[in-house]
Amino acid sequence: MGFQADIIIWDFEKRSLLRRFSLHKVKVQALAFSPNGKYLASLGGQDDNSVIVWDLEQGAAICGSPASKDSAGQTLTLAYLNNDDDTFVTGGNCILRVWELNAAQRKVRATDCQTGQIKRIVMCITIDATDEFMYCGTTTGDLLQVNLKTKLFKNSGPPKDKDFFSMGILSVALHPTNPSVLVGCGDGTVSSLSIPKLNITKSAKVKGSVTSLNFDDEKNMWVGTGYSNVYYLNSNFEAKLKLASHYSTVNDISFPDNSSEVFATASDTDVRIWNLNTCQELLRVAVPNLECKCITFKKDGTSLISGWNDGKIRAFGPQSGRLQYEINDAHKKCVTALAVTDPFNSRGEFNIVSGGEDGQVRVWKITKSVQTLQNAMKEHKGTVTCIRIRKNNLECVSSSSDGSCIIWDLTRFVRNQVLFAPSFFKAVTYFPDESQLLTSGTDRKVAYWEAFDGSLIRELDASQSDTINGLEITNDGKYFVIGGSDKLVKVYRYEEGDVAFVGIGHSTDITKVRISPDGKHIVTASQDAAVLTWALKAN
Amino acid sequence: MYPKVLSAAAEIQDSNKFYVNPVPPDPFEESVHKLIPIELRKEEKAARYKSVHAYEVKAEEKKGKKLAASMGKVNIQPNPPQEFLRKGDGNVRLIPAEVFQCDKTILRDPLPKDRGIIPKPTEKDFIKLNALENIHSIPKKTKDEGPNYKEKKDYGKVPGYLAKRITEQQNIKQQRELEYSERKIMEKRQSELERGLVPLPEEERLKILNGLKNNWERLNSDYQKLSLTVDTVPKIARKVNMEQQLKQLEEQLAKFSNSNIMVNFNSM
Repeated sequence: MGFQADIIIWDFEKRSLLRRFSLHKVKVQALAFSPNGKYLASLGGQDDNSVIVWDLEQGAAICGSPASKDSAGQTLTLAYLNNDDDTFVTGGNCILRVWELNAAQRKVRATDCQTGQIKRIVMCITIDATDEFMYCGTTTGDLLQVNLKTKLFKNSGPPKDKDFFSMGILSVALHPTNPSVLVGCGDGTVSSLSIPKLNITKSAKVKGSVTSLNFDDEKNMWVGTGYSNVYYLNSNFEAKLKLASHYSTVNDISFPDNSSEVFATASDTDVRIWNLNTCQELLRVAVPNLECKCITFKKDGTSLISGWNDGKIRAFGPQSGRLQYEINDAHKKCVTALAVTDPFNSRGEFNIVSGGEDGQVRVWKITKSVQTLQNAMKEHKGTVTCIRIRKNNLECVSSSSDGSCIIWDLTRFVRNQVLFAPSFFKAVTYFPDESQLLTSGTDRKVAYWEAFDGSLIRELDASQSDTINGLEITNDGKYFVIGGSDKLVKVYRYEEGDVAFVGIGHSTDITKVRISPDGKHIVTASQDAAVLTWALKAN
Repeated sequence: MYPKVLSAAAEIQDSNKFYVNPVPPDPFEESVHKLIPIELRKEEKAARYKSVHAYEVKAEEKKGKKLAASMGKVNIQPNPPQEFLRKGDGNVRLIPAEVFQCDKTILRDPLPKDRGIIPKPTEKDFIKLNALENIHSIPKKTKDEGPNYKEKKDYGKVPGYLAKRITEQQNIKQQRELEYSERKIMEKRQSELERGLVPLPEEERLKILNGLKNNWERLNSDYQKLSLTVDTVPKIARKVNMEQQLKQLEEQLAKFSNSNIMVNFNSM
């Protein structure tokens, strides 16, 4: 708290930073350019509660003012008039103000609009082309029409209370030609309201709350939703999904064995399979209200195995997303790590090694009809974060946030070795010839360990500032890739222990890093739901 | 390194341009490798056939030939009627085959003028004669095989000179062993003498032996005469005592029945 929130002006053509304004504290709530592009009005957040007008040519603030009286509610939105450079409006919790700028005197003066009995929380404002009326979307689910000259409430719609949009109106846009206004609502409804009566004429439903509406041309429009979907809406209100991505922390990434064309990502409520080359989503498996924590493919690629925060392991068919089987109460709270062995007989039966928030590492025997617990190994005291199995399926290593990594014998189900470090281990991986182990964790170090006797060989200070969450080594063992809370993807040379490449692209903590089996791509995921693919061209 | 931001859902796929693998009825038979839609391509057709004579045909067409008169008149002039086709006209060889010419420069001897004499056939039966000749012939003598060593007198025996040598050697060996044993005995006796051991004279030994035998017999007769009921303590003591004495005497008898007895005077 108390830090400055910057406003950055970008040159869109060159994609370069032009100016950086820093006066607001904590949060910038809304921004609007004046029609001639001379001024910029900005609105601070709840803690800041100020309106500032900036001169873009000078690159300095002209004037500022508290956005609302202390007694009034929070101001949430801001819009500039279409023809007047000196007037803009703000709206919020029971407040609707028209601001007039006097640039010469460096002053802004606010006039409250009178809405009478109607008390509303205004979420969004749009102003018609002639600057006669403004249309304000409210959390109640109705649209207010307010006259800008008289600053008086004129109308609200839809006319009947039962037609009010559920979960409020979050975005509003005026049709460029027709006398109608379009509203996007919290429940995913996009509706067209006729002017002046504000009757609903057309309606469409998309997935997720509609956070933005924008006309592409005179008929078609783009609709953005809170579930990171972008739809293209034509004049008949037929929505077609154009872009989609995760909308919540991506917890895990997994490639099927020997296939670099597809990979799966795990996130809140859904698991998605992507085509690596075209970056297209191929499959989405959604389990409502649950979060997928870890994901892996069966070795032959015929099953997508996932661990969820209700303590279940679910396996899906990777073509249709149908449920194959479900292991109930696989772990007490949350399944946090998964690994699979090669099938051990001709019927394709195999073992799953799973780790949970309860600190147990459990081995499951999976057949088509029955999934049985073979053994539960209870030594970790914290969440198991990562499990890797040796190529011969006789040994596995699990890392935990209790500061230990344990190498387990998968035939006797006992501990072979234990590695200790003053760190919450986040990832562990075998060197390709399985003679050494690599670990990373909250101590900001990447450690090399002897796999045979568990002795520490070497430690690298791989991050200056933050946890290293993701770690993966290339198949030839020359490079390893790390990603952490410092938002950087770093490729290290294994032997030399120095940085070969750095990837800058993520804007929040990186949660997982994976290298495609052919070693040509890196896929990274972060907390802001971004999944980035990187070309790895070593040599 | 520039990031490539993921986008677009499966719904975006245009089904006309892609082939999506059908989903098998059993979810266990699905495979992630069949998930990627295959882009459809138009089948590439082979180039249309075009005759090499097309231009000629076109040119001929332009010459103004009528429809349904495509065969036309024959342009080649036939042979005149006098030169009709005769037998063998088709077989005329263009290059005549080479004819063999013999060398007539070499003269041979002239042929004999008188007739040759032809002998009269004989009445001899060659087959019979040959058979008889072979039947009456004496077989050839085989080669001399040399002496038979098995019939020798001393076949399989050790030769005399060796037997003689062996007996000599054995005699020498026996002599040596005898000498060695005698020397050993001498040395032993010498060493015993040095230690104060003196051999017991034979008559003295026999005297002791006889005395011991007498003692034993007397004691044994006493022992045999003991009562069979051994019930009191003095009786038991007496019997045990006699048994011990008998045993001792038997041991001593066994010792003195050995001829070679040494007496140590130093120990006295």
